[in-house]
Amino acid sequence: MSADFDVIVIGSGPAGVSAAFPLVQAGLRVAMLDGGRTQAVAPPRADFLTARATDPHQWAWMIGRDFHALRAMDAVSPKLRVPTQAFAFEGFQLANRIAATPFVAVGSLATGGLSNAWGCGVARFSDAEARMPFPVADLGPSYREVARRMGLSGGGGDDLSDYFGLDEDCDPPVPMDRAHEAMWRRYTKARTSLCKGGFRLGRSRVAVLSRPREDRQACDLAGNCLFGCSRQAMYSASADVERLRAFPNFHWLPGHLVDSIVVDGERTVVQLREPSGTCARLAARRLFVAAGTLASTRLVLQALQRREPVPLLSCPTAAFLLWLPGLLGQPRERGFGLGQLSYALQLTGGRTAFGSTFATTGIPMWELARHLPLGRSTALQVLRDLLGSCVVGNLFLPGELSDARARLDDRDTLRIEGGWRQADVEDLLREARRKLAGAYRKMNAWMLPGSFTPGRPGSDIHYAGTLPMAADPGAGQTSVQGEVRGLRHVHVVDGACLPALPEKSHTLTLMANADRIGRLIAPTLI
Amino acid sequence: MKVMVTGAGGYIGRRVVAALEARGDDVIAAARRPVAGWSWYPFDLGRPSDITLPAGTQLVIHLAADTSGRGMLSPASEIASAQALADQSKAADARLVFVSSQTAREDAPTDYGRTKWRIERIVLEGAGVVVRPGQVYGGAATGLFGTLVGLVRRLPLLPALLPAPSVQPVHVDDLAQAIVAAGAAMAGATVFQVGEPEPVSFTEFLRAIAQHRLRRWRLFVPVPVVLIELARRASFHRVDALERLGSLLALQPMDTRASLDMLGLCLRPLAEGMQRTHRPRRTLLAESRAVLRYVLGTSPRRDLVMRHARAVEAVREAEPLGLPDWALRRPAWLRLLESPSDLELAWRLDSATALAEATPQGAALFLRVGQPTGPARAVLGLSSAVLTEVFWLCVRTVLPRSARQTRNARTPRGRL
Ligand SMILES: Cc1cc2nc3c(=O)[nH]c(=O)nc-3n(C[C@H](O)[C@H](O)[C@H](O)COP(=O)(O)OP(=O)(O)OC[C@H]3O[C@@H](n4cnc5c(N)ncnc54)[C@H](O)[C@@H]3O)c2cc1C
Repeated sequence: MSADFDVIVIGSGPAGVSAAFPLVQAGLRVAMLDGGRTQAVAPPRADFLTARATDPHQWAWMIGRDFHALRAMDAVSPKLRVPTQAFAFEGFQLANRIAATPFVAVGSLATGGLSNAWGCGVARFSDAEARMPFPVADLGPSYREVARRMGLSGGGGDDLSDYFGLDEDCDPPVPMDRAHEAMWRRYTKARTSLCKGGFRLGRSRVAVLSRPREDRQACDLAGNCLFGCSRQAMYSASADVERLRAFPNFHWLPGHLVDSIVVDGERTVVQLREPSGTCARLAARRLFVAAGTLASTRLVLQALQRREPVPLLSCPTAAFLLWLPGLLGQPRERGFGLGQLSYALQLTGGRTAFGSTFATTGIPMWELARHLPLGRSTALQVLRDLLGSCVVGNLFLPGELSDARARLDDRDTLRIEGGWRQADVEDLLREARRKLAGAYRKMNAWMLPGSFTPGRPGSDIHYAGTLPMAADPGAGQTSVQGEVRGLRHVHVVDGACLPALPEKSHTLTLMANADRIGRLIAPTLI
Repeated sequence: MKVMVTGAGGYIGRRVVAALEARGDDVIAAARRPVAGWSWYPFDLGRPSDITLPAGTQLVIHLAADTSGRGMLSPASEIASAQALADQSKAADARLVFVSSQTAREDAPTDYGRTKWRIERIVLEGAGVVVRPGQVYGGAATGLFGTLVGLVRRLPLLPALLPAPSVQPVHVDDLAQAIVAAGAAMAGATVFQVGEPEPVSFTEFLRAIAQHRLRRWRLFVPVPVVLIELARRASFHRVDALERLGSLLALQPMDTRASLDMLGLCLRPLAEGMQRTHRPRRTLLAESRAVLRYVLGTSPRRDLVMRHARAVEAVREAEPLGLPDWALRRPAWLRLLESPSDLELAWRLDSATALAEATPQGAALFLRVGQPTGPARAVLGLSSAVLTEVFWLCVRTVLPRSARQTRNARTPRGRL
């Protein structure tokens, strides 16, 4: 039997589509498989405030007709509770045989993967951060290319220009809301002393359109970001799948769930389940594995029958609430719901914390009320009068602090265990909280006492480093081209092959790396 | 998802349909007679040639079977019906889940077990999945479970078989979840064995019915199995109960751990599952109204009250909390019952807050959309909130602890 395709790409998330473009453009016959889930509950078309004030059926997209939000009450992020995004997360662990304790393992079987629900934060890695077995400059053209395809905004020169390294690729930022304007004004005044203390502030660089592009519209500040943007202003890999489908040599196979991979001489074979439930096999000259770090790790370890634990990188996180007394009593306004301002904070040991701040309007209030140490009716009364003058912030620490492992057990289930290097993380979080509270205070924004909350291990959903690239790959590692040692012609092209994970958003880098591998492999197959 | 359930009116079928509906699926009950409140599709195991799939069906759950034990239907017609379902599922690209039995074996002692085994082959050949439940119990006392409950209720003396056959109990709602999960699992042509991994003796099982379900004491008299075997041989006619006991004695233990793992299922303990759940809807509605009133500060609309009650039923499968009358009449006083240890009340309040927020009324209250705002109002609102909280804290400290508890402060597990 000859190969059915030149390349099979498993996964249509950011990594899968980024690897596919150079292959498809080179004229190769490429098949892309994914879990095939698509959105079942539509987000509102009207802007958030109007929809909330007028739509009698808003509970269908806020809670879900099957009470999705209430069932997912214990999930780590509001995103995981939103009915319109349920499809992005459903069924993942069962289908991919992934079990995690106490780690939070999130993944996707959707067309477009987790990018249906992501926060759109983007950044370039420096050489020191990436620790790739090649100079980061090699990623330059790929960073350019993926940035152009996604459409980024937020650039324009500020104290984080170097940190993000993306200004040349960025459109101007989406306008800020009142609260962020106020903080920004204060920052520009207190800038010198804040920078001296190791705190730098700038616009968030995000994969969101501030100008229309092809068939996507620019952000109109509707504020539905949490629920999904009906204008497609936020980047999702599913839009790229549509563009790939315009190529006649691209074969789109949604709903094809890969169960295992086998190397058979010069061919690689995937065993899968078709949408009808029947089992099938497909063969290709090369296989690109982009099922998301966790699922890719399981597929590769299973093919290698490797049962030693592999390290799993993930960033420690925290969240906090800032109160701007100057805005007390202001009415709610339309606005952008993703990161508006970002900070980079220097910590001891040369480490950096990174985070962004968000408006509170588009976040359901019950999410916050249940954490306040007050009676419920009082909590609601307080939040009703206070939240309009608050912003929420998040914080990420570098993934090297992670102490999690993934291991293939005897039943071929991937078991994820562990969390962080606890003592280090506790110290760093304490330091970060103190420094952030001080810095924001200078911007007239008060960190509400008790609001600084560490996240559970894995809840960052920035997973990487299980099958790291190395110049001279050992067992369980991948080559500079992502090729798995011991599995010829099988290339890992998602977060699994990143050797390091800084505190910055990593998706843009894993996309650039996938594009780079696609470009390296395409000529060898023609 | 559009799901057809055969045997939807039965003991297990009803719970499967409820589980699917709670998940938001579009369920078609395929049965001989319409089932009140559900969309119905005529289906008769006795007429295999009439069997069709409704258009657009994505999943078929095949539960219908002749459980009378009296061979009302010929095995041939049951098998032909299964074949028809398998063929049609394949043609329609729908997934087929067949609910079989622990007795399924090529050489099973009963027709029932042999028929199940043959149908399993048909389903597995078509890449469908099979679920083999252990001893199903719990919920409404119907089906085989109903018979056993009836026996334990009627008989003051019960046989303790020696040596005791063992069973692997599974609560009917856990089984329903397993069936639904099997419909979503990636694995095809798989047999999922669902039941408690550690078998319990049949005597233990009957004792659990007596103790936890009926709350009665029963005396167990040892009865050697050989006697039963003799009675079976000696009886001239087939005696139903004896036949069933015979097949119980022939049960082979199942290794269910791998299946439970794959389905992501954790079975409830026998003692918990045996508790009778009855949810008087009126009490539940009254409680929903009270908690909604408490979070909104004003009267909730009727549809919101219904929605909250439905959420409690669908997500928690919980009984009414048993709020005291004074709290139902004056919901503001619910503040006295709130405590970090009462997780179930906290859940009711969380869900009430969430559902109340997701209404135009909630948007006006929580976001102040279309309402006057201003710093003075905000300061006033905050101060009054602080004063109210202090007031209730004072009241709490002077009130005895016993007055501050809901009748049902236990915490049922939420089930997905
Ligand atoms: C709430 C949230 C916020 C986030 N915010 C940010 C952010 O601001 N910045 C950032 O950089 N990152 C963020 N992330 C992370 C980001 O979404 C991921 O890094 C990114 O989506 C990973 O891309 P991927 O292509 O590797 O995998 P995924 O996006 O997970 O895509 C996996 C693909 O593989 C397919 N697949 C999976 N298993 C199988 C199988 N067995 N067979 C066939 N196909 C399969 C799926 O259908 C899917 O198409 C966020 C994630 C979440 C959930």
